[in-house]
Amino acid sequence: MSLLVYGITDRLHPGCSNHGLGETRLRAISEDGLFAIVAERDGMAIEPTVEALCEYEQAIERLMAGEVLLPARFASVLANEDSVRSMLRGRAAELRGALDRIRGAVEFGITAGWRTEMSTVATVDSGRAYLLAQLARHRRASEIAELLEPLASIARSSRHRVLPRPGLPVTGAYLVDERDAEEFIELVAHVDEELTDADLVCTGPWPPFSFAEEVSG
Amino acid sequence: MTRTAYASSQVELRHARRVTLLDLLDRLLAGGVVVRGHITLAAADVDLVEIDLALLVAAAQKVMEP
Repeated sequence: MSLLVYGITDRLHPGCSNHGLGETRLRAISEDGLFAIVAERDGMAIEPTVEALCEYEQAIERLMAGEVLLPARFASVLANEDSVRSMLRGRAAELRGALDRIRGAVEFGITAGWRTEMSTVATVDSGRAYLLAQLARHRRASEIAELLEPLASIARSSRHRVLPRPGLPVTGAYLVDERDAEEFIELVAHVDEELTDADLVCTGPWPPFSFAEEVSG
Repeated sequence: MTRTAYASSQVELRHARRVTLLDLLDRLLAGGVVVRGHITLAAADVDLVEIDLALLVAAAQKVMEP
């Protein structure tokens, strides 16, 4: 029977006796000091609906209460218990490293949006004007990314994207020590006040989904 | 689900909530440790995250209706 993997931890805690999607019972499978928190899939379709995704996130939150958990990507399914044990054994060093990386930390997301519609460059009528407008938008988005750098300085780890979409100059993810969370939010407010043409929304704290895998480069 | 830690005073509450939900969906679909054997939900040659996010935007807006 296939198993839906919710996450991996190196400490078993009461949360693992909780429930997951569709009230399925969670249980732990251990190997070499690591535990995978799983539930029987039992033929259940795992569709990425908003409701299922939110339910999954809430199950992860319950599991994380006071303990470290490396969240698994939504809809991670392994064939059986042997597959789970094999995965834990084969990736033990990598998984332990990832658990150490996120232990005691939470994730915050930053979305910067243009205050005025700087993204509507389509209104310009010549090719040259269009390119100049694009250039100005890129330049300003890069400047905004620089203004966000203080946030990275108090985060354990961070990553950001400049102009991921025309309407968004910068988006970022920040892995922050739980004890620094309040300071981080205060700093977001401070940086936001200095922005004249963009506004910030800070979301979280989330389970550290964006930092579960090491990103090279 | 309210997990907006901060929103600029220039940003409408409704917009901030939408950003928050999309931020969560993005993390759930594109983040987390990838377990070998991971099931691919996407159609062949179509980027999973892009297609799901596009579909979810509409669904998310529906969920966010008061």
